[in-house]
Order: sequence, then structure tokens, then C-alpha cells
Amino acid sequence: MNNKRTFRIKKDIAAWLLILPTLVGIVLILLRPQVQGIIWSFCNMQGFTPNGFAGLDNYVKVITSTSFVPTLVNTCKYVFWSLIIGMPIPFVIAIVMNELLFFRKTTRVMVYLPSIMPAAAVSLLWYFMYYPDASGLLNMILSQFGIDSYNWLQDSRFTILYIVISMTWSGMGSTALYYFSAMQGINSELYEAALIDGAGFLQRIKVVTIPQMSGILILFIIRQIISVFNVMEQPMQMTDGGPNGASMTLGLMNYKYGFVLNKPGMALAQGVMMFLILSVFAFIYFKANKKIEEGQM
Amino acid sequence: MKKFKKILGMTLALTIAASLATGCASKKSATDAEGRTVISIGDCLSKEISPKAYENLVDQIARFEEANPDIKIEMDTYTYNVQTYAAKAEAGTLPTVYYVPLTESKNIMDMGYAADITEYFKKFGFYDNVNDFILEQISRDEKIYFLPTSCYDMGLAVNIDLLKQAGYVAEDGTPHQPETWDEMVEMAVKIKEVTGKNGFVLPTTDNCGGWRFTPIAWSYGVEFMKQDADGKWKATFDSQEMVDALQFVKDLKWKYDILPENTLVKLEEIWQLMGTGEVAMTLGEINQIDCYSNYGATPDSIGIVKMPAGPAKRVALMGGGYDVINANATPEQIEAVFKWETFKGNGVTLTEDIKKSISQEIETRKEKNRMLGVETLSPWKEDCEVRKYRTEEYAKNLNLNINHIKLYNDKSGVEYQAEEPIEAQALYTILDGCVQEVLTNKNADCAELAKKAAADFQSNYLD
Repeated sequence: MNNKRTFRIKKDIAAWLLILPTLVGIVLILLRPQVQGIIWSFCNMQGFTPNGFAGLDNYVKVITSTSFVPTLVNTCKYVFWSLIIGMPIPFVIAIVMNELLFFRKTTRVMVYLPSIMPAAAVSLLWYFMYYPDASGLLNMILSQFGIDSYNWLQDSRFTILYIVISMTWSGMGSTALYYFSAMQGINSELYEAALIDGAGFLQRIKVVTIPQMSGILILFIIRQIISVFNVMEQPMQMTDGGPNGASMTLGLMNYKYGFVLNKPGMALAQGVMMFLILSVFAFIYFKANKKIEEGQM
Repeated sequence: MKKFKKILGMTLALTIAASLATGCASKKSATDAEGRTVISIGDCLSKEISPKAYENLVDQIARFEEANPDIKIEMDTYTYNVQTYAAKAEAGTLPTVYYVPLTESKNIMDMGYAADITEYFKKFGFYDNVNDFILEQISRDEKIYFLPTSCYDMGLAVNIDLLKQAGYVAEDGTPHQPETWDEMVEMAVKIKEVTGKNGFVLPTTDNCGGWRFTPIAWSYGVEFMKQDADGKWKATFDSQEMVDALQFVKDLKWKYDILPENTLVKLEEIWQLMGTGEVAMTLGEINQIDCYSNYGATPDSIGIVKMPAGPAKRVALMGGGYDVINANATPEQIEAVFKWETFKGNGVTLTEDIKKSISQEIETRKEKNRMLGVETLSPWKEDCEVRKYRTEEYAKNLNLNINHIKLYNDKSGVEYQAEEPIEAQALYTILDGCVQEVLTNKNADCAELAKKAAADFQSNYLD
């Protein structure tokens, strides 16, 4: 028996050695902080050291905070706008790239360029584009048409929308390339059949492209929700969550609890709550992914 | 199933091993191979950033090590940063001693990252020389946790050139002292008319809006919180005084139009606006004014006067900077830090070494184009030898027209107040929101804002 086991281990040793670095990485970077964070969210914290069991205190403080609901609503607004703006734009770009007969490679590079910029640089760039006096790029353009300067990010009704536009600008390139590669995989015979049936350009998109890409579109919608729900850097850089909390997100609030207000227990509790909400989307994502792989979507 | 159990077992074993490994990681050694006590000192500038300051520090360390052969100093460029602080503290990678601003001291005491230095504070004579208001800030439960290095008191920083163009600088260079906020507004309006530049600016984000608004509110008579007989704190700023203070800030934008268009202003932007002469006045203190030089301000281009008075009083926020000794430091390291602090000029008994350190400090300030001669409150009592000597040496090495700062240096008639006793950062966050609201919403209801802010502060942070 022992010999058999030793033999199996020896046989698989190379595989285990190959897996080991990844496994260690997963444990150290993903598993350990997550498990530790969940445990500590039920503790009183002195700095980042647990100091006695607190039960649900941290959760109660987070949920009963008067800023929790408005911040949750704001976060949902980010998700909403990112779906309204962030989903169609890359799709349209992908269609344009797919239809191009010339400069296809150049267009791909151009579209992808914003994606290689760090998020902080993008936020700073857009911060100056939105700058509310005449030195802001967008206001310069407005002034060319004789329109007065507009206080872009300071208009609390639309601050989130403007931040989402900057996020879309930054992320659309990579998403468009994914869509583009999916479009390349669509059987050209379907388009030919649609053409024979007299379908125009928009009709072909409706009856061929969208149905053929529905799987990947659903996956990207879920991914978008998960990624935007965690948004922190952009509002932190551009508005610090202002004006008066109008662009505050759960992610940024978490950062503030943890590093500015010295409330790590609340930061951990809110982090766990976000984790649970996003776990639902992650579950849906994996289910959808499985169905797509099985060809059911 | 067996296979799954095996993998799970391995994963858990790895988790525990990793936890232990990380937990034990990177505690710095307290002694070197030669048995010397090793201390690392934070906030050291690199050679590239400031060659003269670097050269002076290297020289200072060499002289210190020669005088104290049992101590070895390691330079560390770590500077306090809220984003990395807790992680570095938990990992044990903070220097033995490093600087923190006053606003963070309560958090650091709460988190337990500062060593109890009571014994050494007394042994080295600091205790008898420290001012009472500073002692209160650095102590908790009769234990001392911080070494005070500097004090600041807020004033009104002015751009001399813009004030001169509007006729607010006397022939001898003395900038006009606005006695009240209303008079400051009047000046700002005229400056904008004459120069086209904005008259005044306030930071409004990253808790700085609340920080700067606090003394304005105090000057209107606002009391932010009170402790009742049971020891519970009550938010008390749902008051007419608070409404008036918010209305004043609102009027700066909507009635007088003396602020820049951008009303989500970071502190760094203020440095730039003041340093480049784009704005005439702002609230400031010497450590902030120092940063204007990064944007081209010269010592002679900036002046500072007293805070204008509000309807209730003329009050300036005061605070300071402290050196923190790492909670993991050994008693030998703490003693070595005290010897170093004393040597570099942060002591109380004047020695030749301290004289040399102060002279190097002055050289460094000159090299960085920073003002010499601005007299701030001191953490030390008036008869402290080092304090007296430093003030004299700064006065001898003036690099500006003294009239630019003489009204500020004359502290008479100003009341000084430290920041609010508990949850100051949370209060600033809430006040940031109030300031942003009145500056971005022309129809903001100040009474409603004050009511909501006080209720939020009470329920979210005091209850």
C-alpha cells in the first residue's frame, strides 16, 4: 500500500512541483487575507490587530451609519451608468473594427491605447479635462461655441456619470477587442444567409451578431457589475467622493474606514458585505460561463 | 472525496505556515554584529532630492556616531503616509523613529503603534520643559507616547505681490491685517477687481475642508461637541453659529465670487495656487507655506498675518508635529533615539552639537527657499535654552522682509485652540461635505446642513 502511494507521489511529483508556486500564491495572496478578513470583521480591532470578539457590532455600525444607504445607492448608480455607457460603446467599436476593410490593425492599437494607462493617470487626465474653469479642456471646447464654462464634476446630479465616462474611456479598448475576437468567430455563412434574405447592416447585427454573441455579452455584463461595484480609485482621485458624498462608493468608504477614520473593524465588515453581494454575481457568472461552454447559450 | 480532503489539508497547512511566516517576518534587528544599538530614522531626504540636506544629515550622523560609538544610525526615506502606515506597522518595517502630524497622533495611540516613552521623556529633561498644552496632546492615561518636534498655529497666508497691486501693502512691506472675516472678504473682492486673480481659497477635500473650516466656525462661536456628566459626547453644532459660519463660506462663492471656479480643492492645489500667485490669500501655517516654494514662491513673495476675527472671537487652530518611536523598539533603542533627538537639536539643553544642528537646519531651509523668521508657537517653554537659541538664530538669518510676517509673529489678541478632542477626522469628513455642498449648490440650506451634519456625527461616531 505504502509502496503504491510512494509510487504515485513520485509519479506526480513534477505536477505537484509545478502547481506549488501557484498554490502558495493563491494561499498567501487570496485565501489567507480573505479568511482572516472575515474572522477579523467579528472582532474589536486595535489598529490592524484583533482585540477581542465583537460579534456583529461592526456590521451593525456599518449598516446603521447614515452614509451606508446613500453610498450603496451611489455604487448602484455607478453600475447602472457603466452598463448604459460602458456596454454599448465597446460593442459599437468592435462592430466598426469588424466592418473595416482598411487600417484594421492601426484601429485596434488606437482603441487599445487608453487601456494601458494606469487608472490614476486616467483619473488625473480626466480631472483636468473636466476642470471647471476656462483651463479645462472640455470648457475650452464649449467656449469655442460661445458656451459658458460648466462645473462638470461639481454638478452633483451627474458627477457619477462623468466619472463613469472616464472609466469607460479607459476600459473600452480591451472590452472592444474581446468583442471583436468573438465577432471574428461568428460563422460568415450566417451573414451570407442573412444577406440573401435581404437583411441590411442593422438587421444583420440584430439577427446574427447579437444572438451569436449573447453568451459573451452576458458574461461581460456580470464582470462589469463586479468590477464597477468595487470602484474606488477614480472617485478618490477625481472628487474624493464629493461633492458632499455625491460620488462616494462602498469601495472608497471602505478605504476611508480603514485608513482615514481608523475604523478597520467597520472596513472589514463592509468588505465582507460587499464580498457576499458580489459572490451572488460571481455565482451567476460561473453558471452562465458553464452554460456557454456547454453551448447552451 | 479523499483527494479533495488531501488538497484541503495541504491548503490549510500552507495557510498556517504562511501565516506564521508572515507573522514572523521582517522585524528589524536591534543590534548589529558589533553589538551596537541600531536605530533607523525616518524622513531622510535622498541625495537627489536635496543634496545639501542630505550632506548635512550624513555629517550629523557621523558626528553623532563618533560621540556615541555604541549606537548605529540607519537612514530611512520612509515618510508618514496614511495608505501604507498600518501595513508597515503590522509588518514591523517602520523605522525606529519617524515623524507624524498631530492630526494622526490619536489614531496612532489607539492603534498601539507608539512606544511608551514616559521614563526617557523625564530622564532627558523634556518633561520639565514641555508646554502643558503639548503634554496633553502627547499623553494618555499619564503615559507619554510622542516626542514633540514642532508646533504650528494657523494664520492668513498672503501673496505679497497681489496685495501690493491692490494697495494692501504698506511702504515698509507690511501687509494689511484684515481684522474681521468681513474685512478679508472686502480685500479679496478688491484684489480680484484689480488683479483679476482670485482673492481667497479654501481646501475642500481629503478632510482638509473640515480641518480649515473648524477655526472659522470657532470664530463664529461654534462648539462642536460636549462631554456630559456620564462621560458621553454630544454633538452640539446644530446651532445658529454653525449656520452663520456655513453661510459665510457660502457667500465667499455665491455672493462675493472670490474663490476659484474649482471647489473640489485638494491641499496640494492650494500650494500651487499660492506658489504661482494665482490666489491672494488662504489659511496657512509654516509647514504648509513651506510647500509653496515647490511651485516657485520665494521667501519674500509670501507674507502671513493673524487670523481674522469672527463675530465671537479671533481664534487660530494650533497643532504640531511629533516623532513617534516604534512600539517594537527596545529600551536601548528608545534611549538611543532620545540621544539622537537631543543631538540633532530637538533637545532642551543647549550644546555645541545642537548649535551645529540648528545651523545646518537653517542652511537646509535656505537651500529649499523656505522662510526664516516666522515665529510659531513652540512645544517648549519660553525659558528653554534650545528654543531661545533657535529663535535668535532664525532671526539672525532672516531671508525676507520681516514686515511681511511681523503681524503674525505678534501673537497678541489671538486665542489658540487645538483640534477637537475625539473623532476629529470623522468630524472633518462630515464638515468636508458641508463645505462642498455650500460651494457647489447655490440653494444649499445651511440650517438643514448643520442639523444633518450634527445628527450624522452623533449617530455614526459618538453614540
